[in-house]
Amino acid sequence: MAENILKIEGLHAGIEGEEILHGLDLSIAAGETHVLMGPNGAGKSTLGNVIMGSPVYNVSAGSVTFDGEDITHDAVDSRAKKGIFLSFQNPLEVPGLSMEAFLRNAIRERTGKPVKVFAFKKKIEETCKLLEMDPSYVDRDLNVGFSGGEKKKAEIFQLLILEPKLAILDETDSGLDVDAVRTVSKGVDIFKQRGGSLLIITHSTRILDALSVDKTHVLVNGRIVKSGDAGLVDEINTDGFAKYIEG
Amino acid sequence: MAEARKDSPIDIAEDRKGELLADVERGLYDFREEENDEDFYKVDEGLTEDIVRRISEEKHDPGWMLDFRLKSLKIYNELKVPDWGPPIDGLDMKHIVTYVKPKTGMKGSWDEVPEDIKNAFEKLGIPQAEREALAGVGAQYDSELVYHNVRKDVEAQGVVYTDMESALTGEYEEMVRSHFMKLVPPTDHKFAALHGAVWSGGSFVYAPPGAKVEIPLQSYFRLNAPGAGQFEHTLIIIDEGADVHFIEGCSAPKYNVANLHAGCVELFVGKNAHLRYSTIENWSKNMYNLNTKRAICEEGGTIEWISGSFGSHVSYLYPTSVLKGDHSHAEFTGVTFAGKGQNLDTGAKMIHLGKNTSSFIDTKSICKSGGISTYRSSVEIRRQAEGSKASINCGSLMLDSVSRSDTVPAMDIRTDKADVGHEAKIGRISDEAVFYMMSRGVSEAEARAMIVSGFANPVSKELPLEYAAEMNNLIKLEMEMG
Amino acid sequence: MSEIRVNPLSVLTWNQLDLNHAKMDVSDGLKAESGIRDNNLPEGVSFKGMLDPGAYEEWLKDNGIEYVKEAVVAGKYPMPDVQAFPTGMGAEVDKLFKDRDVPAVLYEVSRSIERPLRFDYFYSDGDAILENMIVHVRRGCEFTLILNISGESGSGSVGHSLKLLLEEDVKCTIIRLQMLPPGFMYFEDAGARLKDRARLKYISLQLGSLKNYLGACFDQWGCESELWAGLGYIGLKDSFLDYNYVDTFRGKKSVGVMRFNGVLMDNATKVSRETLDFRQYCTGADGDEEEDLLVLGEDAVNKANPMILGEEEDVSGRHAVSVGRLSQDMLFYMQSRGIDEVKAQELMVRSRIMHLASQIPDDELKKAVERYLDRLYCDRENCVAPCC
Repeated sequence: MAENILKIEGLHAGIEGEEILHGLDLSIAAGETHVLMGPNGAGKSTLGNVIMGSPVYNVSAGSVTFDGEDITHDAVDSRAKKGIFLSFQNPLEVPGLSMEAFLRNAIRERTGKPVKVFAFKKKIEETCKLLEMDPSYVDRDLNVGFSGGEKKKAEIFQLLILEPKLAILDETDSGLDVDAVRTVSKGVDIFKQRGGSLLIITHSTRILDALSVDKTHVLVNGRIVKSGDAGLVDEINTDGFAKYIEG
Repeated sequence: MAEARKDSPIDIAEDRKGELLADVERGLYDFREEENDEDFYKVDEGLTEDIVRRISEEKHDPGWMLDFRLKSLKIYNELKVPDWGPPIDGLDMKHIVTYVKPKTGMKGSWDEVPEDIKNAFEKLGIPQAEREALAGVGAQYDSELVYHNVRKDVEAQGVVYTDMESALTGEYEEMVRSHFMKLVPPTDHKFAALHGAVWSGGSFVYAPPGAKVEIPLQSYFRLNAPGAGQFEHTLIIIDEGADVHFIEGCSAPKYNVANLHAGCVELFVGKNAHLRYSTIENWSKNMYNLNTKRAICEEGGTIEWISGSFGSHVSYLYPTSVLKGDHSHAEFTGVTFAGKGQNLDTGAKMIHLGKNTSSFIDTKSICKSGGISTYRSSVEIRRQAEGSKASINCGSLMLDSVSRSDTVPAMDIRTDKADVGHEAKIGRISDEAVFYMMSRGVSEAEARAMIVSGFANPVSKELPLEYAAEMNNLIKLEMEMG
Repeated sequence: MSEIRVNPLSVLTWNQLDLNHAKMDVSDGLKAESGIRDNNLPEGVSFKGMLDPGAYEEWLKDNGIEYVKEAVVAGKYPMPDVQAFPTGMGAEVDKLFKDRDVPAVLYEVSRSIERPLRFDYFYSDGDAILENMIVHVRRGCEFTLILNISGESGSGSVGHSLKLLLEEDVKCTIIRLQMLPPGFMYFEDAGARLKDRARLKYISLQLGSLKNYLGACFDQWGCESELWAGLGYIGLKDSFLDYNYVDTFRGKKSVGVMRFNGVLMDNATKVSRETLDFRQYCTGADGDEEEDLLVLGEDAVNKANPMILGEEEDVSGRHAVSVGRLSQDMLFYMQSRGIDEVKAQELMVRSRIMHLASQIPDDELKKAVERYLDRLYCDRENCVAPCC
């Protein structure tokens, strides 16, 4: 069995005195794709944010280990530098800062070295081609005036440029049109083929259709109540979460 | 010369505002002479030491209060009237003594009440007994009864609720002395000094630690006391963890012979205490309402101001919250409706001193039939008030284009560890909304009144039911008046 | 006279807030600069002469708003600063130019100019200079003017006054870029009058100087006139910036947008006054104003007074302020991509300025702004890299 890229043990976390995750365990092996499902309010997005280190949530017990290193108390940017990526449901807008400049800065911060202009340009062009995105995208101000679909596409674009080891995709396919779903699916597929590990947080399953899923977890009331293979996705699509909630 | 257009705003404006020309020019002149106008408004033959001594004597003041009055009088004579805000030229400062003579006023009868106020009473459906009470005759019994009922309930909790005069000479004298005009010192502005010199009447409330008063305390019923009303002083001290709702007694129109009101409200909110102070003010339309209200909050304390301003000719009213203790909180929710002949300058001040303090201002201004409504505020966040938050939200609704609505919010922020948000909007009633409501069978007038009431809803929903109903009636009334 | 009152608040408020006006020191012998730039004027732009103070006053009266009537329309308030041709900095600046005998240079644009006209001003240590300019753009013309103000190290005082008369259907862009060394006092005043359907884009970028006073008054006299005004600034160290922007709506269906994007670092101070003034009969007017201030200095001082004055019912006015540090959400987003807090702040500062700078129709100047920001960050980080 491959090394675990992510290992979460006994994680208790919450927001201002209210615990949301009550002792959660989860391991993802390198190169694996996991799906996290669960009803609204189960703590799915909390988990994604806690792995990334959002200051909104505090961890009261347990640990998060990434690539063999305990990162439970690491700063957000150092987690990113180690190779964690979280897609945002509402990525923030920065007028006056182009996506290209943003990514260039992000890479420079991650590597500590100036970015080679031509290599970077080439990579951007290639990625645009792969995702069938208009190259003018990257010259636009970061997320400013982007439609919902464009924002999601831009996040996937950043994923491919920044090349993390683990991508946490939070509801990335909710509310998307067919075209955007295709771009997102394609980007996720490329990331996977390059050896990236994935944690996909979702309650719909459109982007999963084309993706081979290694494991599925059901999160209810801050705990993983059931783990299984890809078949579990279908089961939940048919039966919903009812039996896990009552149980 | 600027090209003349047939519909030039200026030409038309000149016709309309011809009568304002003189005022404006005088204002302009005053400003230019600012350096020398120290004496311009100085009262030579106004209020004298003699008169102040007489007031003090009749009220059986303790000695320190007489000293306080005389000191205030001196300050009053030194201070200038404000050079900003609505004009108060109509207020005869030279003969201020006529406003403050003891025993002026409350002997008027229903017959002396001006016609518009009488009509207002009719439309409001204020009971006959209450009308008489408000006119200052006869209803003493009713008032006393209700007052005593309230007193019984609060006394059970050790809450003191009495008139200022009794507090001053009774067992709470020391408490009064150590708080009286400490929050609003007479040096604050000219009318605070005036108040300090001639104040009379008002309420005193003390809530001991942990007291929770379920029903609102209402001062309304006691404003008929002789000599009270125009310079009343309200002093409320809420001790640690106590919770009180106080309603200032202007729920119905009041009629005063003299037309100056310079009251003062001082609220001391203790640690983790909570005070809500509500006012629906509907003074008669000849009143100069120059009122000063201020609260100070200790650690974790909360002050909530609910304020509706409908009456008076000119108002200067900006309840101030001093957030002294860490984690203290202030809210101000206000609506101001300026109709014909009214110039209402209202708003709030927030002063953040403690860490992690928060303030929230939400106001609505409405103007109609030539009324002027100005929202004025200041939010100060001092250097040490780290982690503070302030939010200011003000909306203005203009009901015609002969009225005026201004928004003048100032901010002074001295720390980088603060978040401040401000939003202001001005607009009109949308034709679509009126059309929509009319299409469901509502008359246009009613539709507009409903929309205005909706606009003022943030205030009315915070009021006890009977006051909210009365406020909506007031809005309806204002909407009907030409 | 050593101090004058500038940037008067449109409506007075509490004196103790010290917001009603600013005081500007003019004691250091500010005097006129010859100012004429009649070389290389493109065809369609002509130099119409130097107006001495008397002639200048006449011009302002002829082309401005009538004095006495203006005071009446202003309504209930005493008008502290009645000007024939209103500007943001107010009457005492007009008087300063008059007292110092500063002539006004009058340019006229009588034909559309495709390429922007750019005036470069470069100041040296010890300069104390006043510039006064009128630009009259004739009906239907398109015109872009860039005033590029910079200097070598040292200290000095510089004041620029600009009056714009935009006739019907004009499309005009004004860029004022100031990158003076940190020893300078600088002020810029503007008064613009927009006739029917005139469109003005007015961008001011304030990156340098120690003391900075900015005023602009846009008089949207004409029906369906349009204004877009943007001010971007960085306050560093002990710097002081005071501005007064007024958009007066008079014409029907006039539209005005004002955007203020600033950064305060260290113990810089900023005082701002922003007014949307809806005059009677400006039916259908729409004003929108936003201030977005990033505060990154523990000892920074920020004072603001954003006002909406309404005399007309049928208008829509909106004003919004947001002041604070880098928001937690934004910081989290940046950090999640591997950018630390210090770098995130730098990116936010740059983005604010570049957002406006990107609208300068002159690539050389855009690059100059970027270089200025690079240098600024190198200085702050004591960087020794060859980039600076």
